[in-house]
Amino acid sequence: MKSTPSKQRVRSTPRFDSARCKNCGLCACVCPVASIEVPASEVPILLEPDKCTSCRSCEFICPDFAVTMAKA
Amino acid sequence: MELWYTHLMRETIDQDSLLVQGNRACALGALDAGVRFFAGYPITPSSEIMEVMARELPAVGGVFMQMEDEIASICACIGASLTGEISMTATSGPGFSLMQEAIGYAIMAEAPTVIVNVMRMGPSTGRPTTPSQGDVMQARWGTHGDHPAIVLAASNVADMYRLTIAAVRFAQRFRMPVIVLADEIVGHMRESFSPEIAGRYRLTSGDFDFTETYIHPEMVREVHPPHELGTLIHPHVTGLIHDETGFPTNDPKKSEQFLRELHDKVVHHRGELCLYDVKNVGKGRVAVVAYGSCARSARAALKLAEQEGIPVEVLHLYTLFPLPVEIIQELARRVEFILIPELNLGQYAREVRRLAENWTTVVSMGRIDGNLITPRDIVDRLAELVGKYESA
Amino acid sequence: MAEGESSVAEQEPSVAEPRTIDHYLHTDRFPHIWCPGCGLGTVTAAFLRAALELGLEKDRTVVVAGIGCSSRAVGYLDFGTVHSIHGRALAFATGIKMAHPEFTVIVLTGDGDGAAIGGNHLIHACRRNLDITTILFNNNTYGMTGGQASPQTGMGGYATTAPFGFDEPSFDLCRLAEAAGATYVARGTSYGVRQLQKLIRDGITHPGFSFIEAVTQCPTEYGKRNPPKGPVQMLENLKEKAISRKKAEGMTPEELEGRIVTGLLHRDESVPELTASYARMLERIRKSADE
Repeated sequence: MKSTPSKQRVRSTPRFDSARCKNCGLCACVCPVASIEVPASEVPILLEPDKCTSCRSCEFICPDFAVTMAKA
Repeated sequence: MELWYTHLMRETIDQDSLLVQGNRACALGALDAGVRFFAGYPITPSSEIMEVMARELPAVGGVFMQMEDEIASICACIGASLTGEISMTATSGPGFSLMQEAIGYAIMAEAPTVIVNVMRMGPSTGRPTTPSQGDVMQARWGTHGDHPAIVLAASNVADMYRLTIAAVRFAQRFRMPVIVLADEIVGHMRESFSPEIAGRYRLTSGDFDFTETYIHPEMVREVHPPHELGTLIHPHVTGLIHDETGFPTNDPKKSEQFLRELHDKVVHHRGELCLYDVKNVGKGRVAVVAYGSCARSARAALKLAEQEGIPVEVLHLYTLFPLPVEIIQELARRVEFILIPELNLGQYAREVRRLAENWTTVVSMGRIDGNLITPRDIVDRLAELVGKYESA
Repeated sequence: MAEGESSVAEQEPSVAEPRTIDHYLHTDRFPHIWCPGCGLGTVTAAFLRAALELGLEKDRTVVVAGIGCSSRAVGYLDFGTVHSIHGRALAFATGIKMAHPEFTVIVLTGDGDGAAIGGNHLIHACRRNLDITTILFNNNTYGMTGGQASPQTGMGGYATTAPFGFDEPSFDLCRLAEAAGATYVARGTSYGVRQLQKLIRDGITHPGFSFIEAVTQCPTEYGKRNPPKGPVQMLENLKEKAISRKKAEGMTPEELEGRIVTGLLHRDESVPELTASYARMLERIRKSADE
């Protein structure tokens, strides 16, 4: 049976694990669309999920293994 | 007995005379005990051990590595040991000093390996081809921290063979490094030897059969689960204080428990580990406690002394550590004094003294001029001491 | 289904589910000991993604480390791992690989562990061309002991043991490894993580000794004393300094001063790998014994 794929691909966006994150800010620094904000002493926030290109730069740079990509 | 030794081995042993050098007998013992990984670095007076291993190990499918230094040698041995191989290295005093940190690691990580130290005169380069027993305390306390030690001492060529086998067995059974000490003279002298000759020796301490090979003997119960790499449990091995999971812990209770268990496994099995031979039990007014080349002189001195009217008991120690506490204390109760001939300034005498001084006098007889202590030397000293105590 | 119940089917992970690097991590030991913004985790993650790409098996892979911040990585990795002694990881790894050539053996080391106390083992491991992959995390300092000068601190760098500036030059570790006989030599940075992952992956598949220098940032100990300060600024600095090997080729030594040349720097597949040549020697001996 053929499923009907939606035209709009559901993209993966970063999820930040609060138990692992050490709040260093590297993810925000490498984000090519400047869409991550790291509030002091808090887990990063994806400001505009629509702008995210799922490039995984934040995931790859994270030294704390705290970023995973997941579909919305 | 049909020797399984390869065609190469026949070249190593002069078949006509069966005269074998101590260092070669050590290598033969290692091969018979199942050692299949040897890493070493050349150093007088132990190099022949690695030369024989270089020739023979490939022939039995084993691995021989000449490393860049003694540190690398013992580390490679520990690495191989962690994968389940039976490993060994050989060296002399200066190289043995370089190995000390890794010996501590092997104790902590419970990695079995054997280190043969053919002792030269020291400190430093000293006199490399001169016999000495100067590394006794280094063998016991060389690495840092509180730690147990198993140290054996060879007195002749047959000992080099059978104590190497015993060392491999102990290393596997207790999962820790075992040190075999030999004076330069024991490593370099040649004697009539075959495994059968070695098998004829019987010790007071028990019927340890040196002719049997002990590959992977049963481990003592105090050993923590072995960490073999390349298995389904894919363990973590560390030199940090760790708990039963193998991972580091800072918990004071667990730390103490772990360190005590490392000691317990040796202390609880002292009866098995302490190899010794007593001659003239209960017949001597005085006693000689000796090991290595001095034990040979002591055994010869026994007859000589009897002829001269001095009844003497000789305790020949094959295991220096763990200390044979009960054996020495029993001996101390029966004799007027204990003489300890050693090729050092009384390293082992100090150990015996602290065990025996409540019951008897312990006299150290040290020699550090590079010559051996002869049977005559021992008898003369005994006569002198007997005279002194009789006139007192 | 009532709460608390679960079917067997639910417990079994779906085969199709893509693995993440958590597959190779003891996540129960997190958070790890590294400081915020330290690049060691980034490099470790790059290694683990390379391991995922290659599908390394946990029980056939042994990761050996020495002592220091970088070497603490093995405490989080779910392979056979050996946290050995300072500087000696390569000597341990040599014993493991020679005893079991079928294992994939990886060494994680640092600039102090690998280039100072372990320098002798490093050059001899390169010379032997044993199939071991060494990833040297270069953060220009001894982080764990509190920011002392390392061989890679660099002229003019500050450290607790170089309070007036370090006056010793550094190694070019990649040129050292190549000269010593390593048959795969590469350099990456913790900024260029995709490149680093590829370099590590290719290093693992290379049949011979692979040396990969991963230049990374230590914001706590090195960054505290040497500009620029802060993890983000240090990472951006790495980005600016890094230059590909191709681009570097046409540049003068003066132009390359202070730059980090990245990429595959040397590869030679003509040198026999040690476990293979050892096996051939054993075969030769066996044949001559049979005759």
